[in-house]
Amino acid sequence: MRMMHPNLERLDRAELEALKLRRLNRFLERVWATNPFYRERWRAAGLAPGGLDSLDRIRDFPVIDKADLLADQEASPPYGTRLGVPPEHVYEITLSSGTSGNTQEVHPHTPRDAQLRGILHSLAFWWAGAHPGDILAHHVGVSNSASHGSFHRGFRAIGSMPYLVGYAGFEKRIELMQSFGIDVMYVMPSALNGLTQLCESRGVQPRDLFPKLRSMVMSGEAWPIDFVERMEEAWGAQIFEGYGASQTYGGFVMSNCERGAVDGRARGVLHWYEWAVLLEVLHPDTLEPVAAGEPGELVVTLFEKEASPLVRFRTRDKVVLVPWAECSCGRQLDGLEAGTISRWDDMLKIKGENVFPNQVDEIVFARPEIGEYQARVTIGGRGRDVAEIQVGLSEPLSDDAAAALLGSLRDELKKRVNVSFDLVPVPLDSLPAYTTPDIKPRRWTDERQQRLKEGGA
Amino acid sequence: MTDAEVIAALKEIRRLGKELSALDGDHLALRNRAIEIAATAEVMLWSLAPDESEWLDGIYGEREDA
Repeated sequence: MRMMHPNLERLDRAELEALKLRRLNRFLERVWATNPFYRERWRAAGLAPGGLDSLDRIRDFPVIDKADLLADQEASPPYGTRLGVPPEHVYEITLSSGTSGNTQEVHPHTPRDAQLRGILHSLAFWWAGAHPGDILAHHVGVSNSASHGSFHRGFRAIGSMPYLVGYAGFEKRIELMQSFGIDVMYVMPSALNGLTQLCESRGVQPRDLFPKLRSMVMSGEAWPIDFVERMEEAWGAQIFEGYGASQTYGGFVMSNCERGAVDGRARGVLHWYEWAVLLEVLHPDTLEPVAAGEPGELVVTLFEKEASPLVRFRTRDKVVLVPWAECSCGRQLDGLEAGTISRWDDMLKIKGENVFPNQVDEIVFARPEIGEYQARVTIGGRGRDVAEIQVGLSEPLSDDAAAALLGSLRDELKKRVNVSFDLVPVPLDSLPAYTTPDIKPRRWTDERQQRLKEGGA
Repeated sequence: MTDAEVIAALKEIRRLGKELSALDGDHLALRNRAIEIAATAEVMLWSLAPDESEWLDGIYGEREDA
């Protein structure tokens, strides 16, 4: 095992459960004493201070969600009553994604929180093989989002040099990375795809441009197994995945061990950093735990957080639980299936069918001739849903070959998703993933509400 | 160094960081880095021996105008 924290990583399941219960009780005692946001909710739910005798008792506590956090901070700006520490103890903040101030959650951190999120975040890179002295390229623009404090402090905890390239377009990024040579990089799957397409369009393989590169850590988007295999071959480096959000200390709280994002032909395991976070995978309607292998919603409790702790926060992330024993790495940390995390609220109802974008990703990106796509759902002339996919080809194809490719794609989408899509070939570099590479891409747009408002149906 | 020795060393660094976090007057500008030293040692300690880890609220202090 490539261990960063042997004393933690060697704990067996019983030791781990006991540690979690001790730390959770210590944390709940603090929250009862300092945090009016939770105290009021918990009293209303009939709870009283006192130690829990098992981790399952956390389910007695009410869940909270994004709307609760936004309402709290709107009523008591800027941090809300959930802050739980004097405002002058706030050392840095993380903002959730969102386009305007009043839709962004604020997650403040004390100095201890900040150090903790850095050391948690570094673990993904350590397990991915980052060493002291490495040059670690970071492909996300620096902002108040999760990418700043956690990445920077995480890289420093390892002793790797952070090299920030996410502010630039793809062409400039290639140039920047070549000028230093890089050992490890953090990149979102769509950006990795874009960088690969760019290299290949110039007739070079990334592995020849970056011979020192050993590993790549991805997060933020679901991916098909074929995609990872193709990228590992193109870049000559192993791929790993991490999962984190502004709500999870503003950094990773799980990642692949040294087995990687794809282990053999199977999806790897995102091992939970259970020493600092209590994770539940629940049915989104009943809030009952789901069985391993079944999709559920991730609910998080951060029991080492000083400022603005989260207790049973509903992430709306759709995940699949994987018990620890299913990974051969030896760590007894439960986990999630790598590469399949998506949003419950990303699901679209198209022509009466439930469509998850990551299903479509898997089908589209199984075809190496397709570099990227953009999907649009609208309402057609007869008042019916119209689903269009603009397909960006990664290489020029003859008319016959393009027609055959689009035909097979249309058939497979119909067979597996049960929706007929209109497919339109477009130049690869006209798609938003290329025109705005520093922004987390939204491959799907749903214009139906707008069309209805405009009376266009 | 043994685990016990590293833990003892980190506890001592945390203690010193806490002590220096009370600096004021001419040394006020040093205070925040003392807090960072304490927080760094504290989280290193957490990663070795979580039960030795503690909340640090007491050292963050009140707002002061320099």
